[in-house]
Amino acid sequence: MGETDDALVLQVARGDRLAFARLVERHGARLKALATRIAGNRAVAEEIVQETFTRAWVTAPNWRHKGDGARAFSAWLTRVATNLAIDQLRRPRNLPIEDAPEPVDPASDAVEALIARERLSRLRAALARLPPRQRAAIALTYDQGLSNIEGAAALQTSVGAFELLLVRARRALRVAMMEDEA
Amino acid sequence: MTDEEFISLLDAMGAEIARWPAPLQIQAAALLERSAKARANLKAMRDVEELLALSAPPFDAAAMAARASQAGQAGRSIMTPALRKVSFAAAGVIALAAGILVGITPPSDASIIGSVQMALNGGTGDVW
Repeated sequence: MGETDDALVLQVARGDRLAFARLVERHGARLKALATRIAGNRAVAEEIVQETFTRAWVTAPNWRHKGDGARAFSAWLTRVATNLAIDQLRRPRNLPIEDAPEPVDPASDAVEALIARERLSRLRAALARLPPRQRAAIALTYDQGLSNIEGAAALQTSVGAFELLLVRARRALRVAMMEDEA
Repeated sequence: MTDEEFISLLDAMGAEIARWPAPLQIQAAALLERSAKARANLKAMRDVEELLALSAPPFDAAAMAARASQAGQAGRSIMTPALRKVSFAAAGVIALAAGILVGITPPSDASIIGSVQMALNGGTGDVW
């Protein structure tokens, strides 16, 4: 078992780049997945993750563990990345949504692979139509595996409001998949 | 359980019916036996969740750590035009926070930071 996030943050506060690298290694991939899902574009997601960790570096000297147990720093990173991604999504842009996570080939057969790709394309289009906070709720739940309580904290909203976002998002995605099947 | 009730539960709890409360699982199983509409909606939700579970994008942790620590050490954000506006707001927050946040947990005191950032950001976002 490695050092806790808080222990590493303390070292980062003293300028320890190795400790910082360990934090990035520990949390970076999931933040990239989160940001990619919300932003719909890997390049933008990369910037969001970099900005998140830059803020972590800057914030480290003032970091105070408070209340959220061993996951406090992780939750803070999630909150920052989520808010950056949502904020970015609200701005006008012309970036391709197709640049979302690629699937591991889910089918060995070529026809099945084609069908899977079409289904994924339909889902991406439906995700792109979701309001930013609904897309974030989906990402926090399915990409990050957060509970509704944790997801609500990341979005800085109530659990009830988070659940409502999730219900509306699921409904929109389900309906989109059914319409395309029809 | 009606089709509409089942669909509402799908939207609320997702397609993994085994995680629903036990009484609802039993009712859902009975409905799925007789309702094509319920089965179609369950398939659609399962499709959504399976596709969402597909792989994560590649990530180079070492390169990211180097870039982010350099930016942090320089006291600036490295953002392309797409996010620069956010970056400026963040720089302002950080600058103001240096005076405000001593002894305060930065990420949790959303009310103070939020007020500062709302002012900087024209009330458009909640970066922290």
